[in-house]
Amino acid sequence: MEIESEFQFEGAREMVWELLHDPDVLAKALPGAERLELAGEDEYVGELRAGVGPVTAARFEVKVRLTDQQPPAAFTMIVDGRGTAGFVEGSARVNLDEAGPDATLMRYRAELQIGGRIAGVGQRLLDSVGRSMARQSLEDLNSHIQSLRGGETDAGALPATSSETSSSLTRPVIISAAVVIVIILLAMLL
Amino acid sequence: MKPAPFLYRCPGTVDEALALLEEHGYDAKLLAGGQSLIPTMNFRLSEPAVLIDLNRVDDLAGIEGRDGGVWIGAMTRQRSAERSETVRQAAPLVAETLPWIAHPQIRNRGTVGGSLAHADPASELPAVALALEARLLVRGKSGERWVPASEFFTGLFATALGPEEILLGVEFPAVPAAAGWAFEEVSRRHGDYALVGVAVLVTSGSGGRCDSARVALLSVGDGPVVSTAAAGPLVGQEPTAGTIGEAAAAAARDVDPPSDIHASSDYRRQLVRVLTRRALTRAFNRTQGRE
Amino acid sequence: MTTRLFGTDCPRREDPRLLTGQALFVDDVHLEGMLHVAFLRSDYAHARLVNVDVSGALEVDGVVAAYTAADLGEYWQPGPLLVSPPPTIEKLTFRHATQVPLARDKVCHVGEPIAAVVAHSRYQAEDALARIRVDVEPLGAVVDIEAALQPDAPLIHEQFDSNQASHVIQEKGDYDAACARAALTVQRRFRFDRGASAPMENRGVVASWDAKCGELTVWDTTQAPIPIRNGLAHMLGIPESQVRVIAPFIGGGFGPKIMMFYPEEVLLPWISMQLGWPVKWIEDRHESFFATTQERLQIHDAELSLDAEGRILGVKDSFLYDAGAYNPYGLTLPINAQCTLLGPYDVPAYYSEFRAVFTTKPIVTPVRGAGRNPGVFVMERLLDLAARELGMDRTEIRRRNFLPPDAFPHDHEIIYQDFAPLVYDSGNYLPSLEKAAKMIGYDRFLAEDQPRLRAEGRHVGIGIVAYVEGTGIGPYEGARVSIEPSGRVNVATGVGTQGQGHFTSFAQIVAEQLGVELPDVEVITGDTGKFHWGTGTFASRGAVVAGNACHAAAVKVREKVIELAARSLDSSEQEIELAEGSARVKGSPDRALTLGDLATRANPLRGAVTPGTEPGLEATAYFGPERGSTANGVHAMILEVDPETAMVDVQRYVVVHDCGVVINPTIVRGQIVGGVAHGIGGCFYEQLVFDSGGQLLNASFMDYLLPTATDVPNVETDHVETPSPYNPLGIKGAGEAGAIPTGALFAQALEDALQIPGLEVLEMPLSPNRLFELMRDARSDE
Repeated sequence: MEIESEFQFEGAREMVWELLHDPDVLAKALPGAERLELAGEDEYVGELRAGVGPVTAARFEVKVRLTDQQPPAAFTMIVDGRGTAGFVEGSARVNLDEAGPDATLMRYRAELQIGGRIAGVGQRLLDSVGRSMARQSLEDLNSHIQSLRGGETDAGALPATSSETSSSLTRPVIISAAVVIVIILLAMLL
Repeated sequence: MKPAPFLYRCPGTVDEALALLEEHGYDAKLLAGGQSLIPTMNFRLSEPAVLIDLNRVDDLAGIEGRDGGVWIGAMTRQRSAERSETVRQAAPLVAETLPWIAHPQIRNRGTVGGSLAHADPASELPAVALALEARLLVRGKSGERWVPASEFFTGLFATALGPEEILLGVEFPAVPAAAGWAFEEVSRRHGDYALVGVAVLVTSGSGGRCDSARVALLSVGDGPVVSTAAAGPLVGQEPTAGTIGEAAAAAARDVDPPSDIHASSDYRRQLVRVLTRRALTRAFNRTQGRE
Repeated sequence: MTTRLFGTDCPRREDPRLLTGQALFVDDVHLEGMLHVAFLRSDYAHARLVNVDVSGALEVDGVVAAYTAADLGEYWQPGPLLVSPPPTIEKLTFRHATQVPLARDKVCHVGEPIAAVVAHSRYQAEDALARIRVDVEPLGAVVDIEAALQPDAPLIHEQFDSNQASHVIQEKGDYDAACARAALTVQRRFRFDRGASAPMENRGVVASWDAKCGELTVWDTTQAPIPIRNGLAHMLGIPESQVRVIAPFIGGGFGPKIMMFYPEEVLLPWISMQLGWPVKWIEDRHESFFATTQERLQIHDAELSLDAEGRILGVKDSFLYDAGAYNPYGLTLPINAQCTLLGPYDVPAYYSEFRAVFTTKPIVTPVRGAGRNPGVFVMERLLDLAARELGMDRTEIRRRNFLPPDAFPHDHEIIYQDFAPLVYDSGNYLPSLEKAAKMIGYDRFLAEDQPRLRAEGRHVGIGIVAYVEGTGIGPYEGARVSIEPSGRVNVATGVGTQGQGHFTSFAQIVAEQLGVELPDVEVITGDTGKFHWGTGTFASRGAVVAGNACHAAAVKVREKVIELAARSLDSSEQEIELAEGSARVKGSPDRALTLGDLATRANPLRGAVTPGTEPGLEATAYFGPERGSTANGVHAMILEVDPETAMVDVQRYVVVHDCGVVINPTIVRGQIVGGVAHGIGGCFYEQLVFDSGGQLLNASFMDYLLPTATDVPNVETDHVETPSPYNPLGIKGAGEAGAIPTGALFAQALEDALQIPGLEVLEMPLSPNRLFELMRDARSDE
């Protein structure tokens, strides 16, 4: 299965990156993520519980590996999620582009394989769920960005992208984006 | 295909059911007719820790005429509603639609409220509720509230029902005097999930011109979809093959249906156009007493 | 006066039991202390198994044991090759890989069993499955059969150098020469995709090991209990006589319940012996989509050469056949396709070549039609295309090419699935065609109805196709007939029964010979404790082979009865007639003895008997046909298409069928109607959809669509009777006929209804979605 889509965040790329690394933001935007931690160099493991409609049992152990990174603009992630209801594996290429002074365009293209019980009985809803969950997660994130932007005006400038901060920011940001994509991919399962 | 272990609770009143919901929260599922939930549990795609069975709750079922419209309690079986003279008189579009839901065996168990609360994008009743501008009565800890159908369906299997609320029923308002209605659907076999369905309510004014047209589609998005674009070419116009065709084309342009193994997005769009045209044609014929 | 039972419409005697829930099915077997087994199955189509850890499962309440391949020790063996390739085909390569009890090193299709859990209930066993940890290293799936043969395709069976399982060429005459002088050659690519057998009852096994008696009893939903008994005895190292396999009532077989030695079939007896308790496994519907074998993806590149008058000069066909992950059934299906393609036609030159291909999909073995359906599809479609090119009527091109009635036996000069030359025993095809055309009103429809409907804006079309079906192949079946002192007649045969009406038709055959009424005849099938020689119910052979064995045994008993009656009544054997449960002297009704009396006399308790005498009125006989008999038929259909929604309504369906001598017309009709239902399913509803990762996307009846009663039209049937010379009763098989030509018929009728230039239906099954695409593509080409 291939998914290709894009989403525009209403915030400068630097700001999106800065704010996205806040775990609280992510936790709120992505209710399915129960755990996500660093397991090694560019590798993360986590547990996700996602549900839609009557489907509530889908719990997945997820491994995410990042490759081909071009901070802060693009990276590829390899996803491997397994649960008792099935599995998802595949890769996604994510690009973050400046789309104006106050806009960041995220484009993603994923190729993934869904397997197991969910593939066998869930086909009717895969497309709908994929579309719906992706949109919802990203919109939630975007509204967090908006609300945070509102409370931040007297902090003065947007976060600087000095070389010093960019390297430290890169990883959390990528984790954040990774979580977004993982959620989207896993949502496809349901 | 055996469900995972679960706790079974069987409240006798809505208040007891609400208390159980509050106690168990996310781990609990309400069981109405069980025609969607039980198969999902048997596939172990759903493993609720607690099942709260609404089948023994008094006064959740029942059909009642109200101001020319009709109230249908949430636990009313679809088959009861289908056979109700009150429903046929007050909400003929509902009566016309009900036989399209699955099979008689399923409608004998399936409930009107269960179907609305489940909000499957392929189910018929949510689209009809939207076409008829029904409102739904919901009760939670803090009391009851009415929710218009247009605000009830919020997304894929998602409704305005809170996690600790119960749907009590739905009220379909009286159909205006000069109204026409129709329901059309295409499914692989009768009773299968609709590839596309459309519920239509139109009214005609003086000179046979169209006063209003509501076109609600199912199986084309996250939930039931009202095609506002479809009304454009019709309102204020005479319902001719031409204007109806334009409305149908507008409805088809208006949607971005999902694809699955049974129907591609393109095929669904074609079905939207064809079925909308057919439904509108029948509905306008009805306004002129031609049926 | 003798009662005429053979050939009459007796009601099916088994139906009261079946309809009132009194029949025993495998799941009805409840034994004290019985445990339940559930299987953990692969989510992956192709993966290396790194580790399987069942320790978590053992902690679950009620769990007694859990097994992986490692626990099986020496018992872990690949299953037998059930059908070896015909040694009589010269240009043939073949290699096989058969299924294993539990995957050990790798999994080769989704649903392949990896571990088994035994618990006090199926619920607990399934709870435990979730606790088994499986580490896999995914390998690439092999789904597309053309890609499977590319050098870069992942290798499924690593002992081989490619995924090609077989390559076979069969030839007759010189096709190239035929093509060179042809006035017309039509060439197309055809695709026929996979479907499930979807019996009402899934598979199931109950195994009970009695250590004290050293006896194993297995209730199994098998079509072939005797081979299963023999195989299990061999695998488990116990005498065949100590293994009893019972195939009780079975809710539909359709092929996949043949003697497969499925993993579950092999494991349950072993588990019962390990634990000392009876164990049960019942396949659930979801499992059935992976764990039970399927059919029938084939891709044909075929061409037909004809002269200017529409006479066939030759056919050339090259096809790929999807064998699935393992090929225990050898080459039966592609050879059936290859042979059945020739149909009722005189084909002077034939070049047919196929490659069988391993894929990471569930195993392929016969499903009703067994490879014949794609063969008929290819030939009938080519004839339709040729008729269109030649401006010839569809029935006319068939008429011109039918083998004439004096052409039999007709040798097609290629080898059939039973290793013998493909020789048609008898046939008379024209009457079937004429009858079917008349029944459906072919000429009037085209001349009057269709133009009128067209003017009304309706798209209604007609189709008519013909086919020949090889049936009733050997090797043999047997039966034992005996008469009790009560006068009751017992018939025991080894074949299993899955709804075919054996309890009625075998009783008719025997009752006819012994002059008794049907209620006096008790038929037992499928219990190796009662009869243990034979093969099984498949290949439309039950009535032909087991029916003739019943007949032969009944004739032997009849002879014994007459001999004893003549002696007892002081009469000559020529004067004795059997009627109304008695043997009597013709013309002297008082001089009679009941069969019960005779049975008692034949089994004396005191006194001397003549040396060499066999006790009782009992005989066992076997029948093995020299070769199969070929049934044939013509199907016709009228359907309407809504070109806007691409939905199709089949309005009429006519079958004229020739299965030789008919034992019971109602039963034959039931077989045909059921077959047509299967066939219609395979046209427009049923298709197993695999994604590129080898995942089956419609593994439930929510998405795998069986035609229901409202989707299958009333089937109008009639018969032509051309007896087979190859068996005493003149019978030909009927079990698969209904399903075989339906795809070809549907395609033809659909094209006729739509009449969109350029729209050709070259694939089966279709869905409305696919039909919509075909219409759109054809219109955009205009």
